[in-house]
Amino acid sequence: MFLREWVMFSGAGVGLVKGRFTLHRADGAVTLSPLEVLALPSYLALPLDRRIYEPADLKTFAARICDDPRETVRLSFEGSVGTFSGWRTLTAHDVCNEPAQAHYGDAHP
Amino acid sequence: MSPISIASERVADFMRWGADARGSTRPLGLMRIAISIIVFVRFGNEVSLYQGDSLWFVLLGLAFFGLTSMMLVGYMTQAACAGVALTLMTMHFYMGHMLGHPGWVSHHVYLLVVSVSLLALSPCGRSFSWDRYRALTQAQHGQNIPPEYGDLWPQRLIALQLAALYFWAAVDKTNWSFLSGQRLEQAFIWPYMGRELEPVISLGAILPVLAIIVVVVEYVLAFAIFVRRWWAFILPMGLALHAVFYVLLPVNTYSATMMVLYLALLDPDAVHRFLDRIQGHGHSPHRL
Repeated sequence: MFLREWVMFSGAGVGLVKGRFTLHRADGAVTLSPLEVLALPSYLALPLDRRIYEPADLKTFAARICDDPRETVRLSFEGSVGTFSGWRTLTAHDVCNEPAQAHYGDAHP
Repeated sequence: MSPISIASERVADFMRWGADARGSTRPLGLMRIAISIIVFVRFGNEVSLYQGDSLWFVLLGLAFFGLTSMMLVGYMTQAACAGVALTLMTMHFYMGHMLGHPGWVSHHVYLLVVSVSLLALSPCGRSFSWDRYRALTQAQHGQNIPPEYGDLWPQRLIALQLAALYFWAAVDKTNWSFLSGQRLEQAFIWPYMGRELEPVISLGAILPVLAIIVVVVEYVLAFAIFVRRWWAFILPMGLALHAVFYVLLPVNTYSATMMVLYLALLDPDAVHRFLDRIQGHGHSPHRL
């Protein structure tokens, strides 16, 4: 802690996703960007503890929708998450109800 | 010359440059003023008295404003700098790392802690300070005027800190995830997603090129900042790098701090003479 290596900005984008969320409604699928799911204007407003450090954290990331009792339809995600070793593909079939099933794919080349 | 005598000569040169260095204290005085303003700007709002949710936090704010003001004007300068350093250490190590105060564990805060700590060990109050003004008014008929001159080993340590920072920053980036542009893209996504310049984060093939340029520049700066004959090219390049960081990314006070610390690289006596010259004292013999 007192003698630290200089790693400034190493973690700037770690835990942030790019890709798309999809709400599977009866009258058709609705695609949402990550910022639309968060209802934030920018990732700068996202607290560190809302970032995605493991696949199951997607539920915390999407808490605005998952915790809304009016949203009962399935929410899925396809995209990538920033890690210290680069982008990793991330897929979740049901973000809110089956967070443990979210899984990484291969790291991007 | 034998290798041993060449090595001992190099060590002697290094000691003359480092531990034994003496010279004008004006660059240190300028750094003290600028760093204290940066500390004010960085923390003033966060430790203002209306932010206090406990007596302890109010006392921290009082200490912060009192000591930083003393550092700025140069009153009891070394004690003030030591007090600011201790205050910043408390905020960074105790409140940031141990209590989890958001934002106070950042590396730009650590850089301020190191800078103020080294200034506290230096004679930075001998120039541009209330201490100097008092000493001048107390000096009798031009006698016993304290010289703007002193030990510069803390200034050399600040310069070495700059080099270490560049070197380890480059080492941290020397891997596929950065050089391929992925981590740079992540760094851009953080501030730019949802903004007007969002297309910047999908620069495609340009990102790896930018990433490689950043790493090469940091490795070069780590060593080249000490090569005086390269300064005309290297120092503007370093300053430009930090200006670009400041404009493109939310680096907070990091860029401003680094730019100020570049004063530690310059020849102190040349800075002294330059300040004499721009104040119109160029034709009178300058005194250090």
